[in-house]
Amino acid sequence: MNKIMTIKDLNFFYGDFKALKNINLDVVENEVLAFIGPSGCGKSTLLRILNRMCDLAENPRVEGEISFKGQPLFEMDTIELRKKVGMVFQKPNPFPMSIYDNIAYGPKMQGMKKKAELDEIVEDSLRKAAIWEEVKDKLRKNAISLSGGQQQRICIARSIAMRPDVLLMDEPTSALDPISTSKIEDLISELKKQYTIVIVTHNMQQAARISDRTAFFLLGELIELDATQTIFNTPQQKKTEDYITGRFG
Amino acid sequence: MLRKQYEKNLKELNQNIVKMGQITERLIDQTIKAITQNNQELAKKTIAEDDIIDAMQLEIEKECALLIALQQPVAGDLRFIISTIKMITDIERIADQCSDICQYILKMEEGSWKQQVSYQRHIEKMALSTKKMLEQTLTSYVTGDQDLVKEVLKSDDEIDENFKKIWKEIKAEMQARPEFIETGMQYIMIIKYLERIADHITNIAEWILYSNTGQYLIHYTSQQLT
Repeated sequence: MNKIMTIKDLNFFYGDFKALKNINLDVVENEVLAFIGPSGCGKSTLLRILNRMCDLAENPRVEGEISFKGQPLFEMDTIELRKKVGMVFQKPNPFPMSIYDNIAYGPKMQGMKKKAELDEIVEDSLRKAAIWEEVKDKLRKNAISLSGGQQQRICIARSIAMRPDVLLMDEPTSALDPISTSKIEDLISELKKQYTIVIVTHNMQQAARISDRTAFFLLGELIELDATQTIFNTPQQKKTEDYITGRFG
Repeated sequence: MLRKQYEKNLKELNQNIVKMGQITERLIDQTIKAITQNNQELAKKTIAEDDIIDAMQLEIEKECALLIALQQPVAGDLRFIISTIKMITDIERIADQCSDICQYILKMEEGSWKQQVSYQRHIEKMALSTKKMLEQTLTSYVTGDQDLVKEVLKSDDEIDENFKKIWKEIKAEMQARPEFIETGMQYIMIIKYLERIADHITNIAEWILYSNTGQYLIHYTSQQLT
């Protein structure tokens, strides 16, 4: 079990508000790690810290340490970090350009110019995101014209094109119908062979279906982190049990 | 409190199990009386009442399936529902076996029980211990007393020992008195069913432990528990 990220004694503040309290957690290579908890528990904040999107918040303040592949995360160049730690959001947000350009955008920005290379990376990324067969004949069409589920897979392909190590997903299926959701879930199980995935989800059954480990957060604290089958079968903390059985509140 | 209907359904499920258990306790009681008093009417009544338990099993099973389909229970709730499904199967088998015992009572000649031989007292004792096991199991189900569950598991070992002892006694009697063979075989079937009833009660106790703690103790021996 190789740790790809290590979070140690992490506190995070939005101004005076302490959003995360003393978080200690490791992210293991090639696992799907799910963050669950009620709204405002800090799970999305933590996800955003993992690729430094929290830097964009108003008056953010971080205490503690995070390391990514042994490097201190807060000392890394954010562009370099975000190449290695990609993010997929709740609402599909393809760029208003062709499917091809959506995927090729990142590599082009990184200086990749040869068409053959770009073609290869576009096809490879779309294949890995399980959408190649659906779009291979319309790569020049605007990505916005695709369905929500397809757009989300385009966004995943766009992240994959940067050849990341970690994919962060913030409720990636909450805006999708059940069929698109199951496609993304299948895709996540496929992707974890090559990538490490950290996913925030409000759908408890989704966390149960796709993740290897689950972390339950409440009011900025990490209450319990364990194998997903333990969390959903015999959680150790009463707060976890109350939340996952719907008794919380 | 969230999910009010769900809470209500879980509570009802719990009450139905207790009710099913209490009726079965009564069936065991009637069976014991039917044996010791050679009471054929009571035996017939017990056989007929098996249908009540069969119907309850079906009903509770349906409730469980609905709860799983509609409420997606997890953790303690899911363990409770899984245990319920397993427990009602065992309870239903107990009622079946009471009915089976009563079928043998109907076949027995009038006054068989009155023949004074020592094993009869032993059979009665075995039947009463079985009934006590079910009582204790139901109490632990309601109170969540896990020590009581462990006690039930130990009692099963005693029942098994009793079974072997009575078996030998009946065998000896059959060897000594060939005219007793017919009745003796019926008694052997009766003690076998009693022994099976105790096994089912043990299963129920194990499912109660699983429901409460998540520990699987199925097929453990009582020695492994201590």
